[in-house]
Amino acid sequence: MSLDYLFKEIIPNGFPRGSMILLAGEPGTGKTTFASLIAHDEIRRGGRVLFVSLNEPREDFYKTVERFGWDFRTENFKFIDLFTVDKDALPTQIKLIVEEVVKYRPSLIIIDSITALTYAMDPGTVRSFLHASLGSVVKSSGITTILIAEKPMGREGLGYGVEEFVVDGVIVLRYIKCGEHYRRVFEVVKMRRRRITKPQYEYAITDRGLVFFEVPRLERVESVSREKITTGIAKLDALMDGGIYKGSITVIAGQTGTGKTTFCLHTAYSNALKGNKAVFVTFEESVGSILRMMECYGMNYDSVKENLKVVSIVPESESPVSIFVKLKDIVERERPTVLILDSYTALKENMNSVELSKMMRYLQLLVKVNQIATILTMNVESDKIPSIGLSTLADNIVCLTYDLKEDEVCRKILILKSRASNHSRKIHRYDITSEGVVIRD
Amino acid sequence: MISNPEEVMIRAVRNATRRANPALEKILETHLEIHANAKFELAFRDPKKFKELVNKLFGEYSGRLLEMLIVEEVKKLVGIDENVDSLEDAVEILKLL
Repeated sequence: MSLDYLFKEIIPNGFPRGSMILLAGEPGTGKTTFASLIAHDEIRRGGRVLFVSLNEPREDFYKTVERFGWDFRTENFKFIDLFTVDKDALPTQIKLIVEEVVKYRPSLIIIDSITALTYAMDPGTVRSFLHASLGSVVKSSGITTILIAEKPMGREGLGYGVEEFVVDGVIVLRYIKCGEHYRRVFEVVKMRRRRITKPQYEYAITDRGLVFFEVPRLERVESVSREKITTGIAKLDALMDGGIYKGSITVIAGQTGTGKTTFCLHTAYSNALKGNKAVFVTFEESVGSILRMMECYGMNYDSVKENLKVVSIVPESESPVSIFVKLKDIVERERPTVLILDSYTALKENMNSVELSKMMRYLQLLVKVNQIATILTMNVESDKIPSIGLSTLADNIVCLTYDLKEDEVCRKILILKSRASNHSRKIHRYDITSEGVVIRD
Repeated sequence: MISNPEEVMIRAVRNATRRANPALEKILETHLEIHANAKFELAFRDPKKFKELVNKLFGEYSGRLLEMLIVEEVKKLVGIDENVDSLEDAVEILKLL
């Protein structure tokens, strides 16, 4: 549950009991989903939640949250759906809400939204409502209150401008345009009685609800593995002083047609045959296309399917955060020994360089912590490695290139770098045959 | 001066819906006509049925809010300040006047 991360890393120890939190955001940023997640967590901890909605009927709410697998049909949850009313009826509406609070005695109240509730009030009345009528009831009873505020698109301020001052905490959910995608950013603007060390976090809305982009702690992994695994090509293992280390990152860079994907298939398949879990993530092909390639090289997928998982992700349709979240989910679920990402180039084409560098840095930490040998393929137009930060990230760099000689293609491989290994410094020839890659002496 | 208790209730329902939201008056009237072949007089003649139909249209708590507004309007129209909380109680008081 991502709230463990929220209340451990983002807002340590959670919202202060009895505090009033303003949760603001533009349409579609997931305010109701976030509030529902908080509600679900509160019920899980044995609390009682009163959810006042001026935006959607009860059944619509239940249907939405059930998609995330959250069951709110419990006696510890009460949903009050109210229509918005004109100024003259507001005091009665507020009276009804306060009466329900007193009767139900919740530990958490969510009002969705305070904008709809107070739209007909003047700023003085809003302040008085938040401070006196609602404020006095919730504060004296130690009830935590989340007030959802609608923030019109493109406008910086929130509501009347008084809410931010009256409440104890302000959280803003924002969209930030980043290349072709929008990043969703969770920002803690204010939180009384809590020390917020880093105010901004990214999140994604997935089929599990709102998921935080859990930033791994930026610290070096002290324990490094001395254990190597095979690349699946005996000759390549020999060139790399016995294979690749667990937890290392290998970049296979080469021009189109040099067989980068084939090299990766060898590694994934051989390790799966040995009983090591392997995950092959393709950003360019379908799963069927990868399985067909394996078949062409005589690799029997059925014999290793328990240990080899092939996943296809279309990077054009995903934001950098959601790709990272997916990869992280795969890593945590499968706990692989080998992770193939084919290709880095496809990711690069769909992310700006800042986003990509950040994602690669987090990915590096993730695979290092989990001791996963990771292979990235990279398409290059020449025999040089482009300087995009990958060369420092990579423990091993394998360069593939080719010359056209009369009527044949002469493919060459060079181990440019292999940290902590006495690797070959020579250029070797190789071929791609019906059995895959064959490296010559 | 309104002398008929049923008329008082009709006026109270009308005022309450207008206070809540002017658009609600017509919506509620049409809903009552379709489902009970009645208008706002149903609130006086059969308050339980009236509340059921209101809840069906607006939901339980919006229905309760409208009930609170109607009771407030009844009290205002007849000039009483008694502790009345439900539509049924308001009807009983109107009948006694």
